[in-house]
Amino acid sequence: MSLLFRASARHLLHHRSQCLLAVTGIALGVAIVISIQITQLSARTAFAQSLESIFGRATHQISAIDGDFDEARLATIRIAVPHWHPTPVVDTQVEFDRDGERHSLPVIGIDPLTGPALGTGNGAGLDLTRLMRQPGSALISSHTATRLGLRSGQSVRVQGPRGASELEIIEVFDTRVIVDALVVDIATAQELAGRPFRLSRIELQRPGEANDEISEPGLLRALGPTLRLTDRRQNLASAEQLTHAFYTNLDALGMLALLVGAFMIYNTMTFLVVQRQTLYARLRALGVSRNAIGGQILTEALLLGAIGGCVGNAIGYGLAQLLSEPVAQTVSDHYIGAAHSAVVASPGLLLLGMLLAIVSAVCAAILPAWQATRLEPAQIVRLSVQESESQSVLSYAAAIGVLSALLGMVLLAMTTHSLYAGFAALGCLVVAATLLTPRLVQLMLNAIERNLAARLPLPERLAAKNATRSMARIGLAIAALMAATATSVGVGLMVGSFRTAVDDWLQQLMRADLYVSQNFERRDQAAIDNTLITQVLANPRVASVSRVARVYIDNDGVETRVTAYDLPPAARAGFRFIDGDIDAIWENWKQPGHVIVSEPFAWHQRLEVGDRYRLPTPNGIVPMTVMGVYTDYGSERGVVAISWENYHRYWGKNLAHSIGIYAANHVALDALENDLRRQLQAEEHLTVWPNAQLRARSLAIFDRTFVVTDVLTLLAALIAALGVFNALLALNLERAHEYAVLRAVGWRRALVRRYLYAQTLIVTALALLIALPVGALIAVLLIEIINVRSFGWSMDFSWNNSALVLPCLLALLGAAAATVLPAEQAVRADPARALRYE
Amino acid sequence: MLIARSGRTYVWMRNLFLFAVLLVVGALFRPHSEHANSKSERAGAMAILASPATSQFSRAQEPAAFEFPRDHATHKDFRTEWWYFTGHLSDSNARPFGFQLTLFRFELDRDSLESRSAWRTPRILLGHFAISDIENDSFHHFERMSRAHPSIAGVSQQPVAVWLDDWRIEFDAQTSPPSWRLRAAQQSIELDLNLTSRHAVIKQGDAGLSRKSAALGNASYYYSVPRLTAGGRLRLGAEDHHVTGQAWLDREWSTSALDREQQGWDWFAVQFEDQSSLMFYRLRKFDGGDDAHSAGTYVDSSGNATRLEASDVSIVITDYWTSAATNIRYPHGWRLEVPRLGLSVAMRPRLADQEWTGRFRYWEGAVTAVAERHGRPLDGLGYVELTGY
Repeated sequence: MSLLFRASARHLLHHRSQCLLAVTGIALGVAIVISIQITQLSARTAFAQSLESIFGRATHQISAIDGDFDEARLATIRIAVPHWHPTPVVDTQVEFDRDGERHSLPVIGIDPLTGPALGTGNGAGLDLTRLMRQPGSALISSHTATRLGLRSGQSVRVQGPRGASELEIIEVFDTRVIVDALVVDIATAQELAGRPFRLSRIELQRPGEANDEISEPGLLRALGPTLRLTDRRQNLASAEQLTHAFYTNLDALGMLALLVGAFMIYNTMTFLVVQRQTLYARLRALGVSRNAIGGQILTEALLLGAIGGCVGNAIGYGLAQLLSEPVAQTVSDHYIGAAHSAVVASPGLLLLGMLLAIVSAVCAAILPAWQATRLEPAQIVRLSVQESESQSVLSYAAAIGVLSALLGMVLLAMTTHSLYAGFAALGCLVVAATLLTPRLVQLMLNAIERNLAARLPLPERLAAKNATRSMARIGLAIAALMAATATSVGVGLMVGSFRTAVDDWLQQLMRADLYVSQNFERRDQAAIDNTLITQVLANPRVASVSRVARVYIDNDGVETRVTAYDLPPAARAGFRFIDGDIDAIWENWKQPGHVIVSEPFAWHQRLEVGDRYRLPTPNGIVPMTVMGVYTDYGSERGVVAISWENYHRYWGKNLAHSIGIYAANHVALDALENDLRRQLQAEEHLTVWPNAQLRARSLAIFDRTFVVTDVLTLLAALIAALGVFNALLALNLERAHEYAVLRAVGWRRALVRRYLYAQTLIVTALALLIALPVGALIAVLLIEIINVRSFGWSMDFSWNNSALVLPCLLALLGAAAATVLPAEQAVRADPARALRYE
Repeated sequence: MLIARSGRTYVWMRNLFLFAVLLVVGALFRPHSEHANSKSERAGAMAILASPATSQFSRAQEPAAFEFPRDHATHKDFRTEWWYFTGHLSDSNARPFGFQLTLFRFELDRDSLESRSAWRTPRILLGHFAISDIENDSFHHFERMSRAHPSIAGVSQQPVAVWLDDWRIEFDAQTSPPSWRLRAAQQSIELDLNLTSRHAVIKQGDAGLSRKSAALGNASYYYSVPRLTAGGRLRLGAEDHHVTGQAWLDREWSTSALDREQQGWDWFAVQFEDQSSLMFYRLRKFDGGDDAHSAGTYVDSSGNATRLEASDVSIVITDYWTSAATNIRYPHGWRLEVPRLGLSVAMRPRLADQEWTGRFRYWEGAVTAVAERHGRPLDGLGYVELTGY
């Protein structure tokens, strides 16, 4: 074993706690990145499985462009491609109470004769005859049974789209993939949905190679203009496209955490090098080459990185278990009803975790290694020399920071739509702020020393002075703390602004006093007809009624919502136009060939007022003039809005999904609500929502969306606090003799403690002082660049203090907590012993 | 896997299936298939068809007076019923073909439940359609299944019809003579035939009551039309053939079950060149012996029927063939001796591979017959069905 290696091993073993901290830092950083990746992979697997779900080998799916379709169409499909084994499916949904909680569960209606193979291995054990013959009988996967505490033989009272009914779980089955749904016979599903003669989809198994071109003229004829055939792989691709921006945002947060982790490695490595300057100088004198020393340091970093990577992977896997639920919830709230999935980690991901850990550790060690190679043989190291060098490191860092900021600005100036460029720019600016932080803190400390020092009591004065001197050592920890806090503040401010914008928007949009909507937000079940509206209007307490219906179109392979509005004048103010002439919009609203589009739609389609949009309708493609662009946070894909007249004209429909009810003047809303509830008693599938309640519900979904974000930013802050802990511990170890001197000259322990806490608080406070404006800048960038580029949503920045309180408090507490151990160590040290080494 | 997990389950399954379906369908599902990927699907559909019959169905107990066209149509009081057409065709160049078109009706329950959903029906239709292209040595077979549904599948009394998608069997009593029309198509194969017969139907068994075991009610109503003159069109890919030939119709309906020891059956139907015909089914027992309820009918050139008992016929297997697809070994040549009639018939498949490999595994195919009656040579064409192998 070489001398160098032994020296290195001995040193690292002697400084276990430092190494441990470095490993922890890198491990946590990797853990966050990996957990996000695992969560993403799991969600993706879940979606792929939900596609595969119980329809195992199905390769294709036929669905209607708009909602469900007449089951007679199955007959033509069966004749066109009998060898594709078409099987009909009816999807619906039920809700039920269990243990005081309301659960919502998808229901899949299958045809056991032609349908999927249920259960593992063989379906022989399942009583499919009973499923077919017994109305209200259902099968449930063992996964769902366990999750909801249901068992075979149990009856469950459920709320379906057509009201309450009783379902009996006749059997629990095992599947290869997780099917989080009730499986019923197609007849039961139609009865539950109250939609006899309608199918949701047809599943098909195409024989032969997947890549063969489909040459089934009979099939294409059978599909006609209203049905479409999709390849499952395409579904997967479009789901990925939809959730892309969401995951990119999560990834960016993860990378930030890793960056903070890398700072910690840098910090540790620098310190380990500094401690060993004398050793390296002696080694050089013994003939060890510069490269060998540099290589050894990099090897140490590699080792620490590898350990950190292993630990990080393990923690990341655990963290993914925590994150998968809220992430899955968000994805199904906003995008697609993904099945809940087991957390899966691929070897590739774990390898990625290792690589990230090692690469970031080695990169962080390059500078310290380079510093070590510059030592001359037997050079007598003086702290002052080293510190002046560190001084120049701070200046270099600041200079790189300025360059990074410039790069970020150039990136922003040069791109308009790229989300990656947006994140890169944001990253550049965060790095810039971070690199500038030590220098800025130092400047501020200098200013304090010059202007305030005389007025401060001795411990605080000494603390400020000492902090200035130690900036080379603790600067990066402080910078990392700043970065984490700034990110927390920035994300918090962005979410706050977003929430305010959504709330304002909802408030403006939802002008009706009461809403009546169908219990189930299912696209194919527009069921509120004119009879009901006439009934409602007959009530003298009602002034007017608005109607909303949704249809879905295939917009270049991406499913897009078209919302039809029947708006009384009072409701028109609900639209906030970003672009377009309001008078012209409402003048032409009911005319054929006119639409308005939501902001995200205009953004994604690059449409402007006056442009033509080719709207696919059941009657073919109709060219429409875009009259206006309005604010809408309801769909990130965007929405095309048309008048009720055009809905009727092009879709030939007259049924609404929901209606808004405007009370006549001076009417008590309670009374009106009671009237409506009485009136709609028989219509079990309809719910009356007072305005405020519906808004609260919408905001609750919004809040749920950001749970993941909150968790991740807090974790980043935690890593930063660890970084501070690491730096202070190192600092105090190094300064042990100084504290001994203080104790020797008569300082009591309490005074030493005060001095140490003051030092921590001063630098932390200064870091926070920088974090607040940087956080605001991050928020502005998130709002103006990332949100727009991810989703096409614009919103105003709004300041809210509550977004600042928690991150700042956390940083202060974290830093204070990080001081506890070093401070106790310092005061416990025996002054005489510490001085002996002086 | 199924066997490995529980031999008893397997035996139980098979018995259940034999009980309810074997005789009725005339086709045996084999759960221990080599094709693991489709096993569970077959099992799913099978389990449904094999579910125990309920007692409310009518049973075939007494000989009944058949009345036509009424009895050509469906008998919904019975659990199971089929329209079973087989035959030999040839085009204008004398190119030979065999065909089979069978539609089965099953009821899961006697009573229909009130529902707005058309799928809440106890009725299931199953179809088998096959063309034996003898010159090209190829056998095309297709299977379809569906619940009865107004736009997909069903049976009707007036007019007499049964259909599954675009596979239709219709009877028209208004034509002279009354005629059947068969239509079936899948992928590039299409058959459209008109069938007529000047002969009366042949009542099988005891005036149409065909007992399958000693137990009362373990019987079916069974009649045949052994000589149908066929003419129509057969499309095979791009080729359109005008075809003529001879077809055989078996009609059977029942709520019966097989005896425990019965394993499967061999069914033979031969149309001789002198207009006479022979039908015989042999019920095989698990112990390798023949069941005493094996039976058949000989119809002479003038249309006079002679009932044949198990003891009237002896069968010798002269050859075997093993399927490459399923590894099942089927008999592949027979000699039937009917001493009472002085008849000896040797039969060989016109095509070796006429095996059904879908949900139901059986062999059903066109055969040639070389016979002697009282020492005089007599050629014929026939169809043989082998189940339970």
